[in-house]
Amino acid sequence: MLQVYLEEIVLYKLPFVTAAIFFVGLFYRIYKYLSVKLRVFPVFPKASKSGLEKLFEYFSDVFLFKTIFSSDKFLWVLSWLFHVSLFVILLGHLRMFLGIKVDENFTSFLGMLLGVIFLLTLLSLLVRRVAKLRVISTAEDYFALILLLSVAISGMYLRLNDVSLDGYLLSLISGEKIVVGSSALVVHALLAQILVAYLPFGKLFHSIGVFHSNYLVRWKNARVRSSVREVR
Amino acid sequence: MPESAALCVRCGNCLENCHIYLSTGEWKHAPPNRLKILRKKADFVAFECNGCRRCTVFCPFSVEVSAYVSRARREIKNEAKALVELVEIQLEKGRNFEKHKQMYEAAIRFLEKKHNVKIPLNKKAEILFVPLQGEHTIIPAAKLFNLAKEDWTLSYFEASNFAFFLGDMELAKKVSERIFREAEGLNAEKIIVTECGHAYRVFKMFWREWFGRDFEILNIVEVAADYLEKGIVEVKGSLTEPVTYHDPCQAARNSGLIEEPRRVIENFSEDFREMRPNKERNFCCGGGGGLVAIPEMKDFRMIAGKKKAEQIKETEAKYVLTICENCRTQLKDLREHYNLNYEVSGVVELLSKFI
Ligand code: HEM
Ligand code: HEM
Ligand code: SF4
Ligand code: SF4
Repeated sequence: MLQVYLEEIVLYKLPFVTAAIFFVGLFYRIYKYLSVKLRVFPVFPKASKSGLEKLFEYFSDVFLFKTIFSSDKFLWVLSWLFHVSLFVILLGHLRMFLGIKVDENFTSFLGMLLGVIFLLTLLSLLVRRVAKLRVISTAEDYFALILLLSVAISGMYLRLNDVSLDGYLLSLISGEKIVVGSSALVVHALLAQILVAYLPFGKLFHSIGVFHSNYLVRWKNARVRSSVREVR
Repeated sequence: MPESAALCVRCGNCLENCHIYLSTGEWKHAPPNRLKILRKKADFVAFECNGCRRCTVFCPFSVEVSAYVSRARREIKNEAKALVELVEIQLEKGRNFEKHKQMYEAAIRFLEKKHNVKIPLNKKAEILFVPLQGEHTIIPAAKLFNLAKEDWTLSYFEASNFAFFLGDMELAKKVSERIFREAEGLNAEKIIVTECGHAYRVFKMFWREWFGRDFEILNIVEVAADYLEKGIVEVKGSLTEPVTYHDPCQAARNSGLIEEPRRVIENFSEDFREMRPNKERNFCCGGGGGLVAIPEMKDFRMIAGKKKAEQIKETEAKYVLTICENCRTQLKDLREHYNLNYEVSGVVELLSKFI
């Protein structure tokens, strides 16, 4: 009985609280981020392309982690696989929540593969941090990695036990609640929501700010009329 | 810039890319830690950073350590007495102009005789050339301008702006204002700056915003590259000994002056060797951010320059060229400190020996 009760809370009540914290937090954080006034300087050379080409290059810079690629190939492999697997896993969740049906074998294979990659890269990032980056690491860095790890492990447990939540999003709206009866799901959904609620407040805010600060420093037209040449 | 420090994920990508952390290995000198300290309070670590922005180049979020460094420096500027005094001297020249003018004119007339070149002073002209103290910044440029038959005149002030190193932009504006008024008075259209990294950056990045007027701002190296390309100036003879070029942070990644010096050097050097890495990824010499002008920082900057000394040694160059007065001083000091053997020279300065 308690099990069903908890599941209902975590799946059908808590998400509204989480969403509220997330959005309010996001606005607050963006406001704080923008309200600090420091001087912007460009780094040269600037992209000389224009229009669509420039847009394309800007996004490929951001999404391919080129700065890391240029200086630390090992970190690049870890970090890029980590982020990409996270991204696709989230897409997979969206598919599941919307109840879109794709070939079962395919989704379970992909889910398994990505889950393993996600878990292993996270573990490696943690090992790397402990082994190499202790000088610069803060408690928050460990917290973020361990939280992500716990979400990953509980998620993999669900995957291995074939617990699924098809059409969850629709059920949230329609009110026809799905009852799964899995404590692991309660744990996973709870941890995941802690992660979502925490995202705007700590270092995970980089997922939002990355677009803005890179744009300012590397892409925004640094031209002060003719006194700074734009091209380069 | 918004609070870019909030984006730092402490990925560590910048650690090996900061020459100061590389050479000292100290906790407070890792860029993310420097950031953490300076976000909270204005600490002296702000003066133990060259503001070279190499960490920004390698940061996936372009986090601006140097912006926090500037902010902190302004708050605790009295901890760098030498810089504060230098600013005062600069401003005094503007306030007490008549006295300064007489001494300056005498010095320039002396130089004219000594080198047998014409140096126009106090003349309405298209070009205002802003030098530094020291004839090596004046004579080579004067020769170039005269060869090209330019309508030019020499500024009464030096290009450097020590207030910029203090992160105090109000004060930096006052220092620049002396030259701005001079340029307006002489009806100048182009301002040509001597080989000096931070000075060039200040002219290029701030003048329009400060004074609302669009002078064409050029560096003497750009002008030299242009003359060579157009055949206005011809090179006679060449240098066979190995030459390398040090990209000043302020000129290269912070102002975009990257290819022009190389184009000039290739005109007179037969054996030009790049340092690795170079251009916008070049390592700072360890003297930037005004550290060269603070006597107490000498020991620190000798340690900070370790990476640069290694880079130079690897090229086995006999000439190390650069276009920044701060870098020059630092490169010479490094030579003594690390027992290396090379000549330090400006690019245009060396070019002038071949025309
Ligand atoms: C309220 C939010 C969430 C719910 C209800 C939820 C639910 C589930 C379910 C039911 C599975 C099993 C999938 C299957 O067997 O078909 C799963 C797997 C997984 N989840 Fe979540 N999840 C949530 C949020 C998240 C978040 C935010 C992350 C990542 C940061 C995450 C990471 C994973 C991983 C790594 C797996 C295993 C690999 C996979 O199946 O793709 N989950 N989740
Ligand atoms: C547009 C989206 C994003 C971009 C471009 C991006 C980019 C980056 C980059 C370049 C790094 C530094 C390399 C590293 O340390 O791994 C990083 C680190 C990190 N990212 Fe992201 N990220 C994004 C979204 C996210 C999201 C949504 C999360 C989590 C929910 C996340 C979690 C992390 C974590 C935990 C680290 C630190 C890894 C460590 O401790 O070593 N990122 N991100
Ligand atoms: S590279 Fe940028 S995000 Fe990474 S530790 Fe350095 S300052 Fe922080
Ligand atoms: S010295 Fe240069 S690389 Fe090091 S922290 Fe300062 S600006 Fe960044």
